[in-house]
Amino acid sequence: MLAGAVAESIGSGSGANGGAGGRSRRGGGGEPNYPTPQRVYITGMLLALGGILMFFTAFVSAWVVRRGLPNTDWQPISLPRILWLNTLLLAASGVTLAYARRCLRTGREADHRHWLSLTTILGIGFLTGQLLAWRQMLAEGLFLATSPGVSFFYVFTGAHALHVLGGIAALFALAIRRPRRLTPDTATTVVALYWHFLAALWLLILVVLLVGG
Amino acid sequence: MAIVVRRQIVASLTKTVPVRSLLAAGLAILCTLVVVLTASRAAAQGCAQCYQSAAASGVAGRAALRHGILILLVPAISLFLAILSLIYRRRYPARPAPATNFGERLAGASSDSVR
Repeated sequence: MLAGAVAESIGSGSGANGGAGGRSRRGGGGEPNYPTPQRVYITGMLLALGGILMFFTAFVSAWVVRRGLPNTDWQPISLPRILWLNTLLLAASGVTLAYARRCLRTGREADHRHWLSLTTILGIGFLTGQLLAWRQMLAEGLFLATSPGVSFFYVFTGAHALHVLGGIAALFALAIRRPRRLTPDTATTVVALYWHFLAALWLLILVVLLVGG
Repeated sequence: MAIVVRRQIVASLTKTVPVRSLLAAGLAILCTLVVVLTASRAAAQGCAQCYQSAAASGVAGRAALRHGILILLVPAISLFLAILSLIYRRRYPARPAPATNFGERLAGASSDSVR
């Protein structure tokens, strides 16, 4: 389901407004002109995602090396169960974002904003769930310095949560006002790319934490 | 005789393949050869402290380091290939978008007629 949403977002990256190689709009019934080719924003986002991917891969590499070193201080941890609920929330937010995109393409702007707001709420729910997971870990006496495994848990989830916070800010901005320098379609595509990437990244982190546990 | 044959081969090649592509392929082969031939000299370089640390970490530690390096290699190569393919796909400057509806085509025709 999530993969379909990603494919839809990426596949229609140059949609009605951002299409035609990202040329600025001419005429078009009072629509503003966009001096920057729209595909520039999508390329920029793809490059940023490459950087974020490198950032998290460096963490995974450090995790693999630290876990493989012949020391006895690596203690397996049991993940809080709320992480599964958080995963569901993030997956659901990916679906609602895909619906928002579809509404925009079919010209239903009010529905578009409605689904974007719902995506934002689900994202906030995910972050709240992560906070609860941390509280649960702290209540069990698992602090940042308890063991390398626990440290990596906090670093992985904390870095991901910061990125999710940025995504929520972008979703919120998109839901409350019309973008100035880029078309609504391009803006939604760029935000959708980022959000679906974060969802996929969370699955990767979850697998790493499960294997490490 | 040999020179004539060589000229004929070169002429036939340049007819089918652009000279720029041949030069690019030659440069790529040259770079690959340089990298391959100098790799053995570069292998001895490195930080002595890191070398000692890696050597002292045992078989499991060395395996973990190898895996960590390989994991770092995957996104780096993926990004390199992605950017390379992006450059190749967008090697020509953007052309004006074709008119998508009757109104825009009409506007284009009228502006042409004015010129």
